[in-house]
Amino acid sequence: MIKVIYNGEVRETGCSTLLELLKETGVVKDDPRSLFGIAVGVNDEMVPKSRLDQYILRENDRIEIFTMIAGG
Amino acid sequence: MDLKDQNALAIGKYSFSSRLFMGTGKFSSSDVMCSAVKASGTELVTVAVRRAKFGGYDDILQPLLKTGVRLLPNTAGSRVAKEAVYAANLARDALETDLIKLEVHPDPRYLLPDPVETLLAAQELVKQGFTVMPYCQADPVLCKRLEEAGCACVMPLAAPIGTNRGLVTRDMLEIILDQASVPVVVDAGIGAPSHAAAAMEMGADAVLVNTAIAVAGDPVSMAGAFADAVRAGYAAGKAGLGKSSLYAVATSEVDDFIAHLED
Repeated sequence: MIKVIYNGEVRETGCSTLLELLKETGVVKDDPRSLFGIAVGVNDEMVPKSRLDQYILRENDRIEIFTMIAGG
Repeated sequence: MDLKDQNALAIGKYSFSSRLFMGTGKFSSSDVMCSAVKASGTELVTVAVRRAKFGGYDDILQPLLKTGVRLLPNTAGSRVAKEAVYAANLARDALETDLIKLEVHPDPRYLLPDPVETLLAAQELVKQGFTVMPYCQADPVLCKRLEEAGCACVMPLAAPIGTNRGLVTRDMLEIILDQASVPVVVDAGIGAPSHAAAAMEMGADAVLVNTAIAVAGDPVSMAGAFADAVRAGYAAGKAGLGKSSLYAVATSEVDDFIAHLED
């Protein structure tokens, strides 16, 4: 198990990749379109959704999930 | 849209028949927002990037996309160039678009855009292949610098965001319009259809309106009123306004008529 900061909260996880973690937390569902409108950042760097399965989680990674909201 | 449309507005590689762009904030519900979007005839609407709050957020994207509009993500909430560049990259990955409305405003009281950080962010985002639409001060020199940086348009403010005060920066907007070689989209502070029409009569290429529609008594009717005003203002600007004059100029020759009575 490693410890990561997930949307501001400490989380222990056995996942090895970012994609696995997003599946574990329910962000990624079976329908690939479910990721439209969502972006992922780790340690203030955007991780392209096409590479979520290649990103190997490290201790203390700060993972943030972003969505689109109404705005001007 | 019709490729032969002589009145189409080109911003980078994108083309728009409607010269009214709309923001999606402050609406009472997604339904009202989508009805207003449809009534406005807009083809480009803004959305913002935020950290996800699970279990409590309203998905606005699917209903918006059903209206057929293109999405323009913004970088609102960024205080410095680095944050804006990060937000732009998140938005590009989230929405699969290279369009970005660049907004850097560190001060929450007036929400005025930081010109230095905006220019720095614009330079970097152009380098990264974005179609950059910067929200900026109505500063003619800054607008030229943003244009030179490769921005696809400039978006000078009429008045601070959400104030509905109209074309407070009118004199500077005139200089910007005179100098610009990229489209000028007047953004922020437009509070009434008459303000939008006035901006278009002056030669603005488009306007972006949010608060004035969203907080109107009837947002859907107001969206339609803005659509009419933008069309009328654009047509008037293209037609060429008559010159204004201090003294009256008679519309018919009264002299002959008076002379006839005296015979």
